Order: sequence, then C-alpha cells, then structure tokens
Amino acid sequence: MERTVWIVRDHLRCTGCRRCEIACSLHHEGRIWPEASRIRIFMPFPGVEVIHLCAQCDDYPCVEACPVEALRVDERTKAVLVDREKCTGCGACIEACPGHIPFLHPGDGKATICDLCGGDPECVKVCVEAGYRAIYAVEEEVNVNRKLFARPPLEVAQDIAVNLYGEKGLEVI
Amino acid sequence: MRVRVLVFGELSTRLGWSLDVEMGEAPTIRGLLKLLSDRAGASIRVDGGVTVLVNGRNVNLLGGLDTELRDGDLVVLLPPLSGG
Amino acid sequence: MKGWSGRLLRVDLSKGKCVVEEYPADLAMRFVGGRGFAVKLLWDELPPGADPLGPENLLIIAAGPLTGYAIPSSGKLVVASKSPLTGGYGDGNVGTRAAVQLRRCRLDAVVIKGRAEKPSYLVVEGDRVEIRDAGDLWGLDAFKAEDKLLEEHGRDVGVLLIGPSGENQVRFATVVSQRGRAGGRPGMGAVMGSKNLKAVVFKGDEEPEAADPQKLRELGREAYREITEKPNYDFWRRQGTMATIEWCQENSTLPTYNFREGVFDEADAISGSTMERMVVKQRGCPNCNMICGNVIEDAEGVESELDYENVAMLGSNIGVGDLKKVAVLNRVCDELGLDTISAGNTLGFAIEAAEKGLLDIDVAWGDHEGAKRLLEDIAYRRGEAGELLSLGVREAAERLGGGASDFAIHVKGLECSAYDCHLCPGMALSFGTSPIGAHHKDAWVISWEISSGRRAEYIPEKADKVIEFQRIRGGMFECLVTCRFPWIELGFELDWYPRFLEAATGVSMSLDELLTLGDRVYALIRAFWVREYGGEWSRRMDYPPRRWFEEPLTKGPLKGAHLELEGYDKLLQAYYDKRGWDERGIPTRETFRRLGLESEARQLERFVELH
Repeated sequence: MERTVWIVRDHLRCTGCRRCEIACSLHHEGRIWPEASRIRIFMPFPGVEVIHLCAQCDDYPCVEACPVEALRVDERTKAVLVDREKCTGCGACIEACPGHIPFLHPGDGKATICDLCGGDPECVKVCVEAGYRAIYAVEEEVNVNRKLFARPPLEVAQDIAVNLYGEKGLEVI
Repeated sequence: MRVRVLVFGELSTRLGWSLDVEMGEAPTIRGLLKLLSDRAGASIRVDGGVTVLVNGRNVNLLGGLDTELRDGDLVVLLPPLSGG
Repeated sequence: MKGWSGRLLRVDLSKGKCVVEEYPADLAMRFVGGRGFAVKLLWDELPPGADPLGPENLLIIAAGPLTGYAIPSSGKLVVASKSPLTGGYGDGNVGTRAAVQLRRCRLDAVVIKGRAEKPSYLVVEGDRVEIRDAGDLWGLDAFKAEDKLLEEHGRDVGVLLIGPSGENQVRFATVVSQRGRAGGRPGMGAVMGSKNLKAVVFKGDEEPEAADPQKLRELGREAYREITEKPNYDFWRRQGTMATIEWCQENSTLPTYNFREGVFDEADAISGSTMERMVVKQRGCPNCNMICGNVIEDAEGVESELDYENVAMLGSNIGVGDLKKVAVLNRVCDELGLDTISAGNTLGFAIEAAEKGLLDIDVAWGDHEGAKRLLEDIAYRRGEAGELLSLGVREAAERLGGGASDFAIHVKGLECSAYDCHLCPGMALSFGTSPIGAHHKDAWVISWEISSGRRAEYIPEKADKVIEFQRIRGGMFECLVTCRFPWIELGFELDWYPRFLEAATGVSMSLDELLTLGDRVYALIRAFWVREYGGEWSRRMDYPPRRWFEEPLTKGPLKGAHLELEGYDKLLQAYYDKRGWDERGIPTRETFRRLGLESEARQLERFVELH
C-alpha cells in the first residue's frame, strides 16, 4: 500500500472565494494570475461551485496521449509533470483527460497541470486556513477510482445542483 | 607555426567558437582537419558537407585538402546549413 | 475519404453567402492539398486578367491531408491568390493554430471571392460560418486586433488576419497570425484587404478521421523522438535559422546595402550568437518540436520574434548593425502586417535611390529610426515616398526612372530574399525559377552549392539540384502541408512522409509520385503565369537581378565576383531541358501530357502556342 498526497475536493463546502487560485498562481508564477492557476473554480450557476483540478488518474491518460513525451509522472508525489521545453501545445493531453482538466498556459501556450506543489500543495493550505476545507490533503490509499474526480465541470455541477435543489437542480443547469 | 580556427554550428559545441592551433612542419588542411577531428571526437570531412575557408576563400578554390597553411592564417569551419 | 476531409468552404463576400461543399476525390489524388489545391482552384476558377485587388480575385486558404495531425511540424497552411505585386501566381505558408483549427472544422480549404460592403471578418466554428462586422477591428494593428479576437472567441482559436498595410492594400502586405507568423509575401494580405476582410477565425472540434489513427499516432511518436535524436537538434534549438547570419557572412552571401555587397562589417552584432544571449522566450508552430522562433526584447523593450530572413533584410541589407534595433523594425513590420523581406528590400532600394538623388526621403544606411518612419509611411501609403514604395520595387523603380530599375532587386516583381548571389549561380537560378518570384523557400541550394566547392561554376548539376529541391520543398511539403525543416535542417528522412500519408489517408503514394506531384504543380503554376502575362511572357522573367551580373562585389574575400550572363543562360537552358519546358520556359505539350495536365494544356493553348 503506497502513501501519497492527494487532494480531496468537497464541492458543497466551496464558497467560491478563490483563495486557492491566488495561492497557486502566486506559487507557480510569482504573481496573482488566476488564469494560470492549476486549480480552477467554475461557477456554472449561482451557488454551484465546481473545483476543477487534476485527480492523478491511475492510468494517466494524459501522459499516454502526449506525442512528444513531454508529460511524466513524478515518482514521489505521483503528480503529472510537464516538460515545457518539449511541449508543443498540441492539446492532446487535454483531449485525453476525461475532465479536460489540463489547459494551455495563457503566457506560453504550454500544457499546464497541477504538480501538487512537490507534495505540499499551497491551495490546500489557504482553504484549510480559511476554515472551509473544501479541498484538503490526505495520504491516500492507491485503490480509489481517481477518475470519479476527473469529470467535466458541467457534469459535476449538475450533480451538485441536484444535491442542492433536488430535481429542480436539473432545470437550472 | 600557428593558425587561428573559427568554428560555427554544432561543431562549436565540441571545439569552442575559436581556437589557436599549433602545427608542425609543412602543415596542410588535411593535417589540420585530422587534428581537429581527433579533438572533436567526430569526423570533420569536406566531402561530408563541412565548408572550410582559408582567409575567406573556400579550400576548393585553393589546393583542396592539400592547401598549405602559413603562420597566422585564419581557417573557418562551417557546417552544411540549410535554413531560411 | 480518410485523412482528407473532402470538404471546402466557399465564401462569397459580395453576396454574403457561405457554403460548405464536397470536392471531387480527383482533386485530392492529383493535387493532394495546400499549394496543389490552390493552383488548381485558381487555374479553374479565376478569370484570366482579373484585377488582383478586385472582387473577382480568389483568396485561397488550403491545408493538406497531414495538416493538424500529431506528427512533426504539421501546423501549417497555404494562403494563395493572384498577386497584386507580381501579376502572377502568389502564395505563402503560415505556421499557425489556424491550420490545426481549420482542419478541426473538417475543412481542407477555404475559397473566398467577392468583396464585403464594409470591414468584416469570418468566423468558422465547426459547421457554422458567419460573416461578422469588423468595424472595431479595422484600423487596429495585427497584434491588437488578434488580442481582441482571442478575447471574443477564446484563447485557443486560430486566427489569420491582416494589419493596416493589408487594409491599405500595400502590395507586399502579408497574412499574419500569432504575433510574428506570416505568409503570402506577394501581397496576399493586400488581397484580403481589398475584400474588406480583416480576419478569419477558425474553431473546430475534431480533425478528419484518419485511415489508421493508431498507426498515425505511433508514427508520430517515433518521429518526434527521432527528431530529438538528430545530431544537430540541440544546436538548432539554440539559434534556429539565425545561425545563417554568420554562415552567410563567412561565405560572402549576406545581403548588404541593397545587395551591393555580400559581407557586412557589423555582422557579429546581428548574429545568432549575439541573439542567443538575449533570447527571452521561444515560440513555434503547432505540433512542432524543433521550434525556431526566438524572441528578444527590442530597443523599445517590446518582444520581437526573429529569424534569419528578417534580420538580414532589415539589418545588413540596410546597414543596421544592432540586433535590438533590427528587432524594432521586425516587430513594426509584424504589427503592420508587412512582409519583412520585401520591406527590407524596399528600404534598401529607397535608401539607394535617395543616395542617388532620385527619391526625396530622410533615411540613410543604418538609420533605423528613419527606416521605421518610412515603414509606417509605406503601411499607410502616406506621402509621395510611402505611396510609391508601397507598390514594390519593380513598379517603384519604373515610376522613378533614372536607372532605378538597375538596383531594384527582384525577380518577376517579388523582392529577393536574403541571399546575395554574386557568386552563387545555383541560388540565382533558384531565385530565377521560384514559382512566386524571387524567394528561397522552394530551392534553398546555396548551402549545397557552397559546400560542393564549385560555387563559381555553371554546371548542369546545379539545375538538377534546384529541380530536386523544388520537387521536395516547393512540391511535396507545400501540398502535404507540413514544414520542411525537420528534413532539411536535421536530416529527418523523406520516406517518413509516404508512411504518414498512408496512415492518414489509406492511400499509398510513393516518394516518387509525391515528387512528380511537385513537377505537376510547377507546370500548372507556370501555365498560370503564362496565361496571365500572355504575349508579355518571356524567359527573361526567369533571370536574376542585373546587379549580380554587372556590379561585382567590392569588399571581402570574394571581391570582384559577379555572375556571368552566358553561364546563366546555359544553366537556365539546362533547367528547362530537365523540366521538359521549351526555350521560352513554357512546358511542352508532351510535358503537360506526362504530368496528367492535358486539359489544362488545351486551355492554355487559347492564350499561347504550345510546342
């Protein structure tokens, strides 16, 4: 049984404050740049916040799909790492991801994916500190189906809406 | 007897951009290329596309591989380039 | 059909109509795509004698069956039309997301005719095509306009657009994309401007289905890896095409002072080695892993993407010996949507004309501020000089008189690109016979010629080599539409391409067939020129500039060198003989037949007698 860090996401606790986007972009880009944040919060409908973030699928379809071998899995953290020198911005990893989670960086157009901050994710720190715990880190057992957490935001939003509003939820999204 | 050699392109990563080479008696381009090939760990051949200039003129317009070198000559090695 | 989408989009801007139609499989089999499609469509559908800046002219955007797939350097498309600069066939290719997105709309080409009533732009989104108002885009420079379009339509869309010089129909305005990618030297941007078309936006969702997608993916992976393992890969990633500055300087082929000389005193200051120390980022075309766009901050602190042609033409050719200043001129051309090669050539012409008292401008050799002002005048056709120079050097020289045509460095009206050929007859032949006018893209033989050690000779092997390269670069690559750099720069083998093609389309075409395609395309392009020029066509149009024959170099180790007319005559004749073209440079009936162009030949016979 392996122990790695994994970020649990609890959408119903997310208030949409987006401290996580700020913390992530500050850490990776050196400035506040939500468009370049690896964790992205979408609000398809008021009150329905969706946390969109790499789930480190066990079969890593993104890594598999890359035609120039620019993606690899970090041995220690199990996060996906992008070699920006090799990446040609073709978007194959985005297509391959069930949730279309990677995106092309607004600065250089290269594939951008959460790297778990090397094992100590910044986004989690600020969310926990704020008391929301919509995202928090666990040392996770390997045999959980990560793909449940790599779904397109609108699908997730539908589920949440149903949770919140009952069947009416299907009408709003 | 010493010549100055300027190297362009990929070869420069092995030899550096510019080097002074001491040569012995009756130095020729052939001898110089052999010396530099050994140093570079790669074969430098005129028929492999490397252009060799002595004082700005292609060795093929001079004496080919037998072109004699004199003290202070400037030799330039150019890769086969294709850009544009 | 697999690989090919089998569909093209027809847009009539006068009527406001957009229709997607299926094209016959025969077009794909005979012409494959890209330049092949473009010349065939222009041949069939453009009325001879049409005004290039009138509504009748067709603007063609064409990709090929390999474009957009995850294989090396497949992110390119061709833009083509009858040229307002040369009066003949004109095209260029652009490396842009638009190539990938065009194909993701399951389209292989777009044919645009007519003229919109007011400034407009086209949005092609999957199967939906809209002509939209471009009122708030018209007048913006190419960088700002593209930013607006990306904001409106999404960051990942593909955009082809024009700058103010295209809007003003400057004869050498190009089609641009992504802050520095450009194509269509002979005025394809002006054609777009004449149609009141500011931009074309593409946004699609899926490429055409490949015949064997698994195999294509595998080939792609292997190919990308193969490329990174080539011996020259690492060095290429450092300097891209900019290593050519030093190479040309050493070989006395660096265009200097309007192609007067082949060596430039300040070549070091604009070299690839100098650039390496200043690079802030690199940019490339989609699907390419040997990206060659090196970006530095120019003398005004703005990013500017450099490559060899721009730097030589806007640097040594006009005496600017400071890379950051050259980068300003390069970036200004990109913002204005001006072809950097023709711009640098035209500036060189203008400065020489001023020196000789023929033109009243306040710009001297090396004066980059003056050059910048003049570029702006040209883009906006301001003032006598701006208006005159916006016509290109051939026309400008004719109007100036006073012997100006002696230093208008062009072939067929297209300004020569950055290789001084005083002692390179093979490269001179390449310029002379390039299908759009003087351009190096098709037959870059200068390196072979100089390495061969027989640069001063006029041997028929040079004609053979030019044809060989034309078939590969100007034929095969321009029709598959993928970039030639993996092959020519790194030695990526040509026989990958039939394999890619088979995996993509299921069709098996040998390398030989793909090279014959090149011959076919060349013959048809030549037919197009002859049809347009009619009685005015002559073999003289295949000759390089007079300067290289009559004004020997005065500097550097090759001082005194010049081309020889008799030698060139023989070289050109060897070229015609090898191609099966007659002494006028027109393909013979037998050549047309051999290339499967009988009906095109019959059509040409209404204009000129065939031998």
